[in-house]
This record gives sequence, structure tokens and C-alpha cells, in this order.
Amino acid sequence: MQRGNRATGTSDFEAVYRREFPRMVALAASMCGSREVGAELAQEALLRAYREWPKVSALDRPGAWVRRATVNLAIDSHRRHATEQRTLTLAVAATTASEGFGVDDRFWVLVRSLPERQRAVTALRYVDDLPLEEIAQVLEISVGTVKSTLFSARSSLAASLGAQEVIE
Amino acid sequence: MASIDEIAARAARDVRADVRTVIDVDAGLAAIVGDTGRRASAPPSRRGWWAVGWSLVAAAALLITVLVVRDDSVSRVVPATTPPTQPTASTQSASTQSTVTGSTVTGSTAGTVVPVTASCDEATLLAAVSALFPSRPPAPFTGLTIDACRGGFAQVVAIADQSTCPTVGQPCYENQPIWLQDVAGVWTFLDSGTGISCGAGETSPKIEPACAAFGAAVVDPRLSFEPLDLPDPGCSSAGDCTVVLATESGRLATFRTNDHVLTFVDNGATVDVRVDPQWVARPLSFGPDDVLYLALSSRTSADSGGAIAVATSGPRAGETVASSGVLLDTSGDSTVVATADGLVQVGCCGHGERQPATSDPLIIGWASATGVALPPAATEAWIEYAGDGTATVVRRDVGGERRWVLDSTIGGRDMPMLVPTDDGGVLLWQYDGIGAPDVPPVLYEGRPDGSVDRYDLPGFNYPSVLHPARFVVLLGADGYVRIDLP
Repeated sequence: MQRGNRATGTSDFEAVYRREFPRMVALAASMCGSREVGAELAQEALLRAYREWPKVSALDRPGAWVRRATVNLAIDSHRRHATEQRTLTLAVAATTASEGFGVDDRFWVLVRSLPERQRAVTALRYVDDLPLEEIAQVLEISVGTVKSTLFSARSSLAASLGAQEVIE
Repeated sequence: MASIDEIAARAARDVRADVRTVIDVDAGLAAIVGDTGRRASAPPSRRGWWAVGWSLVAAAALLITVLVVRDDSVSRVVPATTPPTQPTASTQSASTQSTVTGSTVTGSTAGTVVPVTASCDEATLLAAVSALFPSRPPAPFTGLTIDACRGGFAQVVAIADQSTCPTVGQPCYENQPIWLQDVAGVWTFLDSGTGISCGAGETSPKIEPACAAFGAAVVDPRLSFEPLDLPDPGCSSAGDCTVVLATESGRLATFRTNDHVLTFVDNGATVDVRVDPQWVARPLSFGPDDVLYLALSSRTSADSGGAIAVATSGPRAGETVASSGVLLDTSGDSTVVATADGLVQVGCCGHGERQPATSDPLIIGWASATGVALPPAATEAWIEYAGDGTATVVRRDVGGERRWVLDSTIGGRDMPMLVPTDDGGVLLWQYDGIGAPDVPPVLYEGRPDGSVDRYDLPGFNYPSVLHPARFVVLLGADGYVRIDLP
């Protein structure tokens, strides 16, 4: 990882916050199925970045650190929700239940049923619009793994949605 | 029919538009850094902002701690306003511990020169860093950030002074990551440069002792690496990957999933594995008699597939000699594991009392290169999980059972890679890239005498081969390497 000039001070954090917060809310919301929970997770990820700012700001891409924190928090949230769902016997509305994201909400419901890595890669690719190389940096996996994971996710989604799979 | 990309792009637009209703950047920012003079709007989520409030209290406490406690392990940005001081040796009268200029002096013998430890004080470190550039008075750095300072080593980032540059705003110096070592109470240069750290794959031999002192995981110095000229996995979105495997005798081979060509690395010999084009073939493992086992999945349906055994030597090389209709999970939520009977499928996301469980489904049994079903192997290994968080690796062979209790919690989302070794031990790889990505990969070796060796291998997250002959093939940032265990 290349280290670059260190940004210091609140103004640098503010710039990162303003740039990343909306994107992180969307990223987390797509992974956990709730805009409110997505906002909480994005805020928590950026709070952690602020606490670690001397370290995070020294990175070439502080945004990658924030994304990784957001993805991990979203995965943790999803796991807790899954555990709660297994534990609860009463059919009550769950706090992280899907609220719907417009006409293609079915897409995100299916994404959330994917394995964790596929879920993360799909969200980073489509919601955050990241190139494969940056996804690899965020998740700390190889580009090859990103490609194969995305391929598996797209294949599963295409099969479920009756969509045409595009071979790139 | 819409493509999956079109559907995904539309769905992404929807979610981005939908979350705008809960985004209030000013309020969120103010909750973290305080009132920035902007509009204090209503919080977007009551439940979330309670948490943020408490987090803010915690952050404030953390900042107070940073400012008050002179602990030598915290990171902080330091302006260069304090006159720099240098550590000095000192003659001390009887005392248990005294602080002298920039240094902590320990010792209690009156009238003698006692050892001096270089101080982690920011002014001392800044002076030491500035002294590395004697030809550039005044000091080219205006301050520094202390990333770590303990155990006789310091890792700092010196903040470059841009005001003296020919064009203001165009730095003559960039901020410099610098590593220092305490030599008899004086900070001396150890290493410098971007791109090096205690992180995975970023260490240099010079800083390894520092990383060890900081408590960071470094590649085990007992290991030596042999770079292998093997192609990058290079999986494309069409599923074109090169997979590295090893036969039971230790021959390395690569398998290309696009054209199903198996290539032995030692002599370049190739085997065209004949697979019906309707299937996507993914290699699983070599088995006895150099038979290669592959998982098949349909290009058109998630409900068909299976596994095949293909001879790679002898008159039937390239032919399927055994097959199974057991459908494999291709979602990434399972691991295929070799057992005495053959290959079994172990589900993801946790474990029961044992992995693989005796109830895990057999995908395909072992077969010879001529297709004859083979009896169960004499040796196998598994993991038993106690309720207290510890795990025991068990090996069973003709001599009975051997057990190794591991000193740390293993097991994450997937079953760790595990093989019995030829000398009566076991090798186990532990890395959980999803569940615990911050925990570096570890190779455990259970020795025949019952002891356990642990090798930290940060940066090598993905093993291709753990071989019974006690070597491993790992994929790192610079490609594949082979490690023969000491």
C-alpha cells in the first residue's frame, strides 16, 4: 500500500465525510436492507475513521478504509439480524427488514441472500460504482478473486431474475 | 430481456435515491467533530444518533486520554513548537526512576552512569528525524505523527515544511514515513519510505524487529520463500481462472478453467481434460493415483452438476474414470474437504463439534486411474471444537490417534484447510477473510511429538497447496511462492 502525504486536521476529515457519507449510506443500506440502519452504519464507520484519523489520513485512499469499515459493519449487522431471526419465534417486524428500494427491490433482496463476499462485491461494484481494482483494495483480496466472486454473484442473480448474463 | 448489468444499475440508482431521505451531512458531521457552525438539523435516525452521542463521548474521552497520558503507544499529531531535545546519558543519584531531558533514566546505583532509553517524547523524535537531514537547515519538518513507539523502536511520519519551497504549496519534501531504533539512548535511522509498514506484504527486513516490538504480525523469520513462475489466477468474469494444485507425490500443476488444460510444472507436460462443453469445470483436488477431481456446474441451470474424477496419467489420461451426481454448492458457502472416503462438502458459516462432521455429504469417493473404486485411506484428520473456544486437531492413522490442542481460536466462516503430513503430523491453515480480515493468516504445524509450531504469514491470505510432504504454495502480492517447512 502506497502511503502519501498525510492530511491533518478536521478540515480534511470534513472533506472526506462530505464526499463519502452519502455513498456509504447507500452502500450499507443496499447490504442490510434499511436506509436508517445504513445511515447508522455509515456514521459509525466515519466515526471510527475520525478516531483513527492520524492513521487513516496517511493512507492514499482514506475512502477505501471507510468503505472497508462500512462493509464489515454491514456484514456484522446482517449476521446479527440473521441470528435474531433464527432466535426469535414471534413473527414480529425486524428492525432491519427490507423497506424497499423502488422497482428493483427484488434485486437487493436477492443480493442480501448471497454469500457475504459476493454481497459485498456486488454492492461495491454497483452501488459504489467501484472498479475491480479498488474493490480488491477495499476487501483486501486479489483482483482475480473479485472477478470470480462477481462472476458467481452475477450468475446467481441472473438465474434468479431471469436476466441475460453478460460475459465480459 | 434486460441484462443483469442493466437491472443492477437501475437498482443501484433506486437505492441511492432512496437513501437521500436519511442523509443529513451537516448533522452527521457535527455529531462527530462538533458544531462546525452549520445548521444543526434533526438527526436522521433517533436510534442511530443515540449511539453516535455515546460514541462522541467515547471519542472525547479518547482525545483527552491522548492529550493527558504520555503513553508511548498512541498516535498523535505534534506541532514542532517545542524546542527539540536530545536524549542524554546522565549520572544519577540514588533513585528508582527519574526523568531527564527528553529521556527516561532507569537505575539506582549512585554515582554511576546508567543506561538511557531514548524517549518517545515528540520533541525528541522530531529532533532525531530533523537531524537526519543536516544539509537542510532549518529542519525540513514542521511536526510529526507518532504511529508507534515502544520496545526500542519508533515509527513516525514527519510532516514536511512546505513554506520554504520555491513555490508555496509545492512541497520540496513529501511527508516522510521514518523508522527509528533506539541505540544506547539515541534514536538512529532504521528505514524510510512509502509503501513499507508492518502490514501484510509491506514489511522490509530492516523493520521486522520494530514490527515485532510493536506487536504487529510479521512473516515468520524461520521461513524461506521460493518464488514460483506460475501464472496469476487471473479469473475473468467469464470464469477463466488458472488454479494451482499438487499431486500426492508433490508435483505442481496448473489447470486452466477456460480450456481445461492441466499442465505439470516440472516438465511442462499437459493433459487435455475432456469435459462436456455444457459444464463449467472447477478443479477440487488431486487424489490417489494422480487422479484429478473436478466439480461440474451447469452453464444454464443451478440444479444440475456433479463431480468427476479424471485420470492424468496412464492410458486413460484426460478421461473421466468416475463421476457423481451429487450437486455441489457453487455459491461459495461451502468448502470441499478430503477425507478418508473421498471428498465431502462442508457448509459454511460456523461449525458444530467437529469439522468435517461425520454427516457432511460425500461428493465422490476415491478412484484409481483406471476407475476402480479405492478403499478408504488409512489416514485422515479433522478438527474438534470444545465449547471453551479452543480447538483440537485430530489425526487418525494405522498407529491410532494423535491430538494437538491449538492455543488460539480457529475456525471462522469456512473450515480451515487441513492435511495430515507424511511424518505423522498435520498442517492447518487459518485465515478468515470475511469474518476476521484483520487477523493475519497463520499456518499451524502439529508435530509428531505433540508440539505445535505456529507460522505467521501476513500477506499470504490464500494458500493453493498444503502438502503432506510439508510444503505449502501460497499466493502473495508478488505471485506464488513455495515454502518448505523447516
